[in-house]
Amino acid sequence: MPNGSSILRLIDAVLKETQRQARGTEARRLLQHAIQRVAAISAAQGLLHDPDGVTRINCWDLLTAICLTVPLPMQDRVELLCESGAGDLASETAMPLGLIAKELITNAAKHGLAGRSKVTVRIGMRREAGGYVFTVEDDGPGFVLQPDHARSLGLGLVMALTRQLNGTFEVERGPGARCMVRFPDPRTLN
Amino acid sequence: MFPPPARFLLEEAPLPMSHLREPVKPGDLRGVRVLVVEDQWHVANALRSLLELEGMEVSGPAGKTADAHRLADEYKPELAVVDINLKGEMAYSLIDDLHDRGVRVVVISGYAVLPRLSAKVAAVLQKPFNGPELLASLRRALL
Repeated sequence: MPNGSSILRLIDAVLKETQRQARGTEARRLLQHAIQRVAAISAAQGLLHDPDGVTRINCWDLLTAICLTVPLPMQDRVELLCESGAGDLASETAMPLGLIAKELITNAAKHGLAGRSKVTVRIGMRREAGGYVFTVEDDGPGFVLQPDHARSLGLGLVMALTRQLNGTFEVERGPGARCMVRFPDPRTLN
Repeated sequence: MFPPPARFLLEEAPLPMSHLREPVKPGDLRGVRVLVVEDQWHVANALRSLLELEGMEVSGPAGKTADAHRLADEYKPELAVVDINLKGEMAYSLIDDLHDRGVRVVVISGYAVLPRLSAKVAAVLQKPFNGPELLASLRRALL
């Protein structure tokens, strides 16, 4: 039975070959996005798969690992702030949450700048009744979540991974964008 | 804004935190020997990646104080990044030992830590923290 890493390497090879054969700039561009997403998933799997078999991970350890490794576009213009309450998560939630975090943080850094010289991105995790809420907010222009976003590669992936966590995804537009992923603690589901 | 974190405090009195937002000079950590002591694999791996990317010579990560002592003997680090709580084993005696060897220690912890450490550590970073905060603390520790 192939493991996750070998499957990802296979997918990466298939996508690259398809991109090589693709005709048209748009098709190649979309395939390039897909290749980058697979690379991000591979990185997160390496980062967040615990070889020691630990079954719980502390919230602030997970956020520290994410903050230390998230690739930021134009990082000298992005201030990334992290806050977390106490709590521990099931390790099976760590990888999807890590991928969600990378997508939302990258999105916030990229779109929050919107012609400005600097953006502040704030990520946080806190407990609420029966589960957790993970938040990524920026002080940029904000956006309203539209049905079309489900088809975009970045937010589409966030929505798919949120469903995997049996969670919900919301975006509030205030002074900036505030993206919230609410998900239950698996220990409370049964 | 997020509510303040509700954390189990080992000690109420906080240590002075490092000045996290100061600009720092790039590149001055290259070649510096640093020991990483962290029991959580996710964080340890992320720390090692970040510090190696900065050009530092990383030993560890050590997940236990016994391993950290051994690595300190072997690699003679100039700096150490030490998680205070190693799966229930507190790293206070390790920090005492590193301090006595002249190693400058940056403590990382999700918890508040004992004020008695303040004379023996260069900085305390409360988890979660980001890369620039850690690197700034390490650069200041070298001054």
